[in-house]
Amino acid sequence: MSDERELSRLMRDGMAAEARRVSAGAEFTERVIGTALALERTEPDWSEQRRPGWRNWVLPVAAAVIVGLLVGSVLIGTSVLHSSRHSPAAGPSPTPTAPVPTTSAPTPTPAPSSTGITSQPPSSQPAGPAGGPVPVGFRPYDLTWVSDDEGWALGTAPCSNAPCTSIVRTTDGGAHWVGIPAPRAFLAGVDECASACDLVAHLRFATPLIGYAYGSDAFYLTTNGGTSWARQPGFAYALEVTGGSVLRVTAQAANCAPGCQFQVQRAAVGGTSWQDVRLPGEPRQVGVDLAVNGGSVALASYANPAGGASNASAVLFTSRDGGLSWRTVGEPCPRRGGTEYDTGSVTVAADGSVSVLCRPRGQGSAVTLTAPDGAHFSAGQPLPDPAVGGLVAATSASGLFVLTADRLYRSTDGGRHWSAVAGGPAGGSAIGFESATVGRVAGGNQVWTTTDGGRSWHRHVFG
Amino acid sequence: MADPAEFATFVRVHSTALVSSAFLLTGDRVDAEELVQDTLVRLYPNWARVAQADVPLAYVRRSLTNNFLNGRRRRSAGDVLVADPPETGYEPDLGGRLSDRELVRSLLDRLPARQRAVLVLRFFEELDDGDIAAIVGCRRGTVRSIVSRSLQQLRLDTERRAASGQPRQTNGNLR
Repeated sequence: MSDERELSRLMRDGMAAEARRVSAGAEFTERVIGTALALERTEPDWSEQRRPGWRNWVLPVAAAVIVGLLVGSVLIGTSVLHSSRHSPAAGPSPTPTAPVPTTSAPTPTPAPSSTGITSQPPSSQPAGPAGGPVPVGFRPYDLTWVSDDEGWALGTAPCSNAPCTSIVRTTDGGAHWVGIPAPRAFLAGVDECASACDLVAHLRFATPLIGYAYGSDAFYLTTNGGTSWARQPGFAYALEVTGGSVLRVTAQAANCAPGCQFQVQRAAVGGTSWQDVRLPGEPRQVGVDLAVNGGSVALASYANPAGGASNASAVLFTSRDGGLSWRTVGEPCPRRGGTEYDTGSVTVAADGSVSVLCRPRGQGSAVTLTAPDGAHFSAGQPLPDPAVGGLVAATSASGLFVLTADRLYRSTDGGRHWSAVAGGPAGGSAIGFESATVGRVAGGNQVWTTTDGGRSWHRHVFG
Repeated sequence: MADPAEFATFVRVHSTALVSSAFLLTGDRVDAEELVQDTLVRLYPNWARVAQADVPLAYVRRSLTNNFLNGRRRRSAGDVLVADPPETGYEPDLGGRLSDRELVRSLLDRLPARQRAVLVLRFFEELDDGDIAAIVGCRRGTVRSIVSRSLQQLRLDTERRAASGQPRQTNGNLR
């Protein structure tokens, strides 16, 4: 066969035959439609970054991981990183060694009955399961929102048959909640696990139907709003939705011990094929923070190369296009005077600014650094109280918040002046803003909400 | 402003065609579906612009190819557009019972992403040199060279198959 026309015909016929091997099923087609419409509602015009902000939930991973690994805290079960959601001074949540009393029902199942419901669902029918009672004694540890109204809380409640991990959902901005099914996994750092258990630490929903529950050795996906959860290969230390895709931070092996390397991966929303993302540097092991707002992404990775806290260092990577391209910022928290500061928490605000909480190594108070352009940081003033822990959140480059063990601090001038928020949350395990005005804090048995940029807060108390 | 109904109709009508194109590019069904989903989700906020195109399906296919190439470029900085098929040292199993389809698949799998895209755009999408060059970002002459050399490689493959004594199978023998 030497005739080019014949070869071209062979090429065409061969490709046509190869192409006929696949077709798009109805399930795939509807998933694409649903995902596009849902993301457009929650993240409109992300591609042009006209409205960059839709959520920036803080993932307070690093500090607890560092402390947990290097100080040698006795963690329960096989995971040495399962307390990663909790910052050491970030709230009155149970310690990893505190067993949860087992006196009540396990993870809720969807039930239309309102018997025992601590909150009544709104009249409109949400996507996913109808929902049932919120488990008695529910305590939220992580929050995720796809709009100002629709959100989920991952937590636990006393139960007789572990795991007691529970998920509750609101469709009215946090006024009312219902329980929905959760993965059969233990809540990392909270629920006691004797051996070889699946541990989840975080929850993220990309759309009302597609969500992820994950931890350092387990990864679950739901595509039906939490009606069912499918165990997926792999695990994740952090995961966020940006630019129509999902970014996750994984590692060479589960429960990444010092020496292993983190890897950022990207997949389509609801997809199961994860592709490695190249960073202009090497993410350090031990802990990571991933923060997203629209197309702006910040990834802080932490390392203790010599195995001691005195050598702690961090590298910050940022992206302005949803993680397609990255730049290395380096260690944002420098030495100030005679005090070494360590990056402890990172957030991205609705205006694309990146803020970092720098914790002093030893005596002193934490300070924040803010980079309106995501690269060039300027420092604020130390917080009023000496605090080595805390989580940072931001509504803009000037509107900053630091959540410590017992207080919420607010600055309206980029960290130059701080004041405690009166009548607001008293510590917590998670803080974040879905927009420049709407934010949440999870702490104790409460979820706090602000709709005015953090000036005032109101709470929902789980019974 | 995106029209949800218009978008949904487009997806339902054309998703199989798009997945087919993506499958030729990626060689994997799951990767193909995710490439299509990623492309459509990215396009949806500006769907009005897509709908105004002369041929919306062609617009989406161009975006699909670009999305594929951009993803590959991020993954492999060494994926450089050259006219010659790479010397991978890989010898296709032409002694087996390869159909024309398998022969073409084998060839595609041995090519770098951009060269593969050129062939798919030419022989599956039926685009001309100018359009292909615009999509993959090269000169028309490079497109012609890639096509010519790929056809030469295909001829070598068919000759090897013939020399192995295996009968040529029809393309109807699909798995």
